Amino acid sequence: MINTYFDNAATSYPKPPEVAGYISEYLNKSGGTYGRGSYPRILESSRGVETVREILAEKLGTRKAENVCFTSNATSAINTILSGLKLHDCHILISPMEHNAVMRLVSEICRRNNVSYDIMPHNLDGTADIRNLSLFIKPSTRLVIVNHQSNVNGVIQPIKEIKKQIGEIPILVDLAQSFGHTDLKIDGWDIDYAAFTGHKGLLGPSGTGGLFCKDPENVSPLILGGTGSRSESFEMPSFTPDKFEAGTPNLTGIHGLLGALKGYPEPMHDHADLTALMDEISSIEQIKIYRSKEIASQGPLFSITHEKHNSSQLAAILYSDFGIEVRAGLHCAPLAHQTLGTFPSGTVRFALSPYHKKEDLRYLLNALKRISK
Amino acid sequence: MKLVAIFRSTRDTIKADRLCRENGLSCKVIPVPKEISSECGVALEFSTEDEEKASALLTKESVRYSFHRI
Repeated sequence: MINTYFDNAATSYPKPPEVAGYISEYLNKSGGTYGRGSYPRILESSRGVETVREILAEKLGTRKAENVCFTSNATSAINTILSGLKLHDCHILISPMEHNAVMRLVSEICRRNNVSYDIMPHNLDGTADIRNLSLFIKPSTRLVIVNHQSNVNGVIQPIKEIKKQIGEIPILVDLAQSFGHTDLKIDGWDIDYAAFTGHKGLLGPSGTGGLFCKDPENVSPLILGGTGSRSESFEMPSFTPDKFEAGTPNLTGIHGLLGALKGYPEPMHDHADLTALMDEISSIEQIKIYRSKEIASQGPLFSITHEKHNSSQLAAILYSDFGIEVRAGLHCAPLAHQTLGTFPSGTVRFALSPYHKKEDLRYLLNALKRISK
Repeated sequence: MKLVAIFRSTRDTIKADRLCRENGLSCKVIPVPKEISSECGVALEFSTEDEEKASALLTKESVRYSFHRI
């Protein structure tokens, strides 16, 4: 059976069967809360949460698992970090491929707190121009924000090199699209802040995600409330993860994420198959493809525009004639489309998952060829 | 006389419990005794003979704790 779902950058499908299995097990059998008591049901649930935290820390490339804190998604993680830094009267440098999860908040902070931002110098595919990056750093620059993997053309930014260029200025990395697909070395790259989601590259359920803070004392919590610790105090605990985890966590979702991490499949295609697919699509006369210039900096998604059909029409034809599910338009990333020259009409995006086989990619290619005849 | 270790967070308690189990150190998860705190969380109970071993392990793994003899 052909896998016609190519919208994995929106949310992953299918999930490993373990996701539903672990959720069912949690809801029907273990079912306890996190902390706040000592009976076995609580301990089992709490151990599940901490196992996920440990695995995520390892995958993120950090030894500081306590600084990996659960949130409901990457957007809430970004909101926690950007709001918690209390930026005012300063300058922010951002990558040219930012999603509105960052842009809407940055715009609000600029409006309210006398903050300005610049877009870092970049190449045509949206990758940062490392050689000229230092020219955009000002004495007042307090934060650099980088979308690690674009949700429009899949380009992966050179985080390690960017951090080297900006030195002591803190960096926030949006891992929403890259986590699960790309090797991460949070400690090795000296990353200060990161945000991630559980339902995309990790193949977990929606409603899961998290943040990482190298120095949590620099960030105020966004949500205040009970943590099951320091309960005698009206103040939030200053230590992580409790500082950023007020309220009962999404235990159902986190156990589903544990299922995803345990049952993550061996990819059914490789990077060469993706590259070959993009090369073949590029050769179709009516199609323009948007991808990284460098094969090694390409994540598992790319976009196209078509001479004869706008993006909405093309997406509709792909579904009605071939059952192929994709996302058309601006992908909540108008800045990325401005950078690529596809604003405001947008593109059609194809986002793969480890479950796509070579024959699924061939099916997609043939559909695009037939539409372009 | 019992040796009770209390931790500042659920994460630290669960981590300490795992580390002790992985290192063959016997401990029991108990509610935080009322003599120590009115906290609603959990604590670990050790044999008093294991204080040195438990202390060395938790310190090595950077887990913050405090011991109480009750």
